[in-house]
Amino acid sequence: MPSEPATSSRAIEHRLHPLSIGFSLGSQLRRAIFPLILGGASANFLGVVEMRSVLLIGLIPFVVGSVVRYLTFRYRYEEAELVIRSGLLFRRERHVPYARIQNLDAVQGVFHRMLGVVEVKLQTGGGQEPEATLTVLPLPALEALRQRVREGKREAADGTVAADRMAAEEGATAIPAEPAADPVLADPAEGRTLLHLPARELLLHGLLQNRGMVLIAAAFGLAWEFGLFERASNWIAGEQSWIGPAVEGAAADVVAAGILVTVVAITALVVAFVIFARVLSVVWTLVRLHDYRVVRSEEGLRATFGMLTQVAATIPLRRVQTVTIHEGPLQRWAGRVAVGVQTAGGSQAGQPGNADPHRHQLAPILRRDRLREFLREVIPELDAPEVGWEPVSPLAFRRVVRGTCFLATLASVPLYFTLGAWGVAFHAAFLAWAVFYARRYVGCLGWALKDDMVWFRSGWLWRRTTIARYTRIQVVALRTTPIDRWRGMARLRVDTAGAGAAAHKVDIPYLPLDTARQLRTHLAAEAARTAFRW
Amino acid sequence: MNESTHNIETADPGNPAALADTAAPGDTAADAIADGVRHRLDPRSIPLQRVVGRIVTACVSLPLAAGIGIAWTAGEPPPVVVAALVSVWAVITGVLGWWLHRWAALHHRYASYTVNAEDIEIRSGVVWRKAISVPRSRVQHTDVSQGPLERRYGLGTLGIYTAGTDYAKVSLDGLEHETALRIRDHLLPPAGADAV
Repeated sequence: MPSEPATSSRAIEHRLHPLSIGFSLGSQLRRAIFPLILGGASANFLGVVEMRSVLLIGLIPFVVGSVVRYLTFRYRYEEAELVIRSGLLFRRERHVPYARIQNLDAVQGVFHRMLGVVEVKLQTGGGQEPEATLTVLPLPALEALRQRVREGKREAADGTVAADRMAAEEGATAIPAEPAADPVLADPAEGRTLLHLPARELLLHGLLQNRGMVLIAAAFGLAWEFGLFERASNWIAGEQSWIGPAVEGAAADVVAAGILVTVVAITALVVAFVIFARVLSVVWTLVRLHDYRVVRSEEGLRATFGMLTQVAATIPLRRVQTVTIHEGPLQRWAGRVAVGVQTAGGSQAGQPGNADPHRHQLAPILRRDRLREFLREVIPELDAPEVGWEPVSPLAFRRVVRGTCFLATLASVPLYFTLGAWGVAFHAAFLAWAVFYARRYVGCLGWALKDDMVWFRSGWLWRRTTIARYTRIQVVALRTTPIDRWRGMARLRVDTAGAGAAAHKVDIPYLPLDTARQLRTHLAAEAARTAFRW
Repeated sequence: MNESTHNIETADPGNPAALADTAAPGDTAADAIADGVRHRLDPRSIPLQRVVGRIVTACVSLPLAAGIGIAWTAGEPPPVVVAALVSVWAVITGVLGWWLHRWAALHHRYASYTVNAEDIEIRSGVVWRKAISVPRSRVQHTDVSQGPLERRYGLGTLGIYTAGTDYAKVSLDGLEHETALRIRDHLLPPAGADAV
């Protein structure tokens, strides 16, 4: 609340863009359309009313809601906070201090871009939901908002920020707030570019990443949802169709031509499918990650990308909890890695379609020789040129190899029944693979304490390395199973904030018991020495 | 309920640290709770767990008995089947009751806590054991709760909340209510240390 007479420009209340009505209606309808259709269909079935009228009546509350929302939604800039008022019957006034705003994410879809508007999400410290979503603002308003937040933050942090950084910022903010030419969402006060992915790298990324399969699966699911399969199968295998018999005839011809031709044909089909998936993956990557850029600015790291839907996501450096380096076999062959970060709270705009809002893929593809340099930007404390990896217990291999050999044997039991004597050969091959794999897997397990961080590496083909600073450690837990105790081992889990279910965590198995105990005591003491800041 | 006091020798053989009984001499100093000594849970947690065990046993056993009764009256099965069903029911009830009765003592034997100046260590688990360290500086907030049964036995549960993921809440039950309150006061961040 304004306690002192604010300048008139600060007291002005701003509205959203009038197109907000359309956009909020659109996003609500996307959620409500299926229940509505279902309700309409059942009402139609019962003969109460026609489906069309149900749909029309059902839409009314949404339309009214969107209009009311637009008419009542106001925001204004106060000295130290952004004030957002909304609601007709239940009025709500939110005060968001500039200093607490962590992320200011902007998303622009195709329609947004055609109409020159942008959706803005404000994130503060706690919670997974954005503190405020501004659907939608005209582009100049986004600039004004950014400017205000930046100024407000600086005022709040006055005296604590290093002088040189202030000076650098002053130079940057002197640029007038006008919409930048390209990319539209880029902040004019941007800093150094840490990473820019040209089309060549994106092409490589699309090839290495198996996104195509995911896309095909998604398309499959959608088609299932809309009953397209039935129609397709009618079309292919229906009475009047020529496709079904043609395919059948071709298949019969191939089978008749002998086993060699059959094998070649099947292989060709598989290869064609794989190539199709990869091409799809490349196209998808080129569109989604178009002009991928990571910029180090005052607020932290800003990633901007996208051809159709443009995204600008900010990751404040102090919110980064752990950093994970991913390496697949193809990526290793191409000399590339991927870097992801886990944040507490965090931005949902970072990864469209990602279930875990705390996971951000910061560098989807990065040259191996640039990794250190890049990591140092994300974790300034990082200093070590090389990490000396400590192995897990020497008994670990024996434990793992027992497990893999058991699985190999289990897998070859049916082969004995079907192939007879040939089963022995397969069993031997499986066992050899099991031993080889166990050796490699255990060899890749490693941990290290370096630069006040705990490092953990695991996985042979798909290797992941996670780094957690001592200041980000929340809880240290040592766990033992009966087998662990029998073999004198333990498992050490270092818990941090924002670690999603699927994320790679510092969870070191097969440690010698004494080492694990010392590590637990050491890490807990190190964590206790420092304060945790969100 | 008389076997509630267990020998120190039966403690986790891998951890030969001496375990102190919770009924420590009444030290009144505010920070004396952070003595760095491994404490057992309150022995009253064993009878409490046994009561819980009996309730669980009843919840499993009574519906089974009712099902058998209904089958008996409605279907008129041969007496052999009835006898088999009843003996299966008796075995399930007996084994479950006996096991939960024993489990309470086992659980107590392997559970302990250590309050240090800067962190708290909680050990638990009989088959899958874990030792959790929560640094004091990472405690977001704490709570002490007391259910109706716990109130009868004068016990309380301490909940420690962190910003972590898997260990966002670490709870320690089977504490004397007074002890739980004292540990809570010790863990609370000093006034004025606003973390966010």
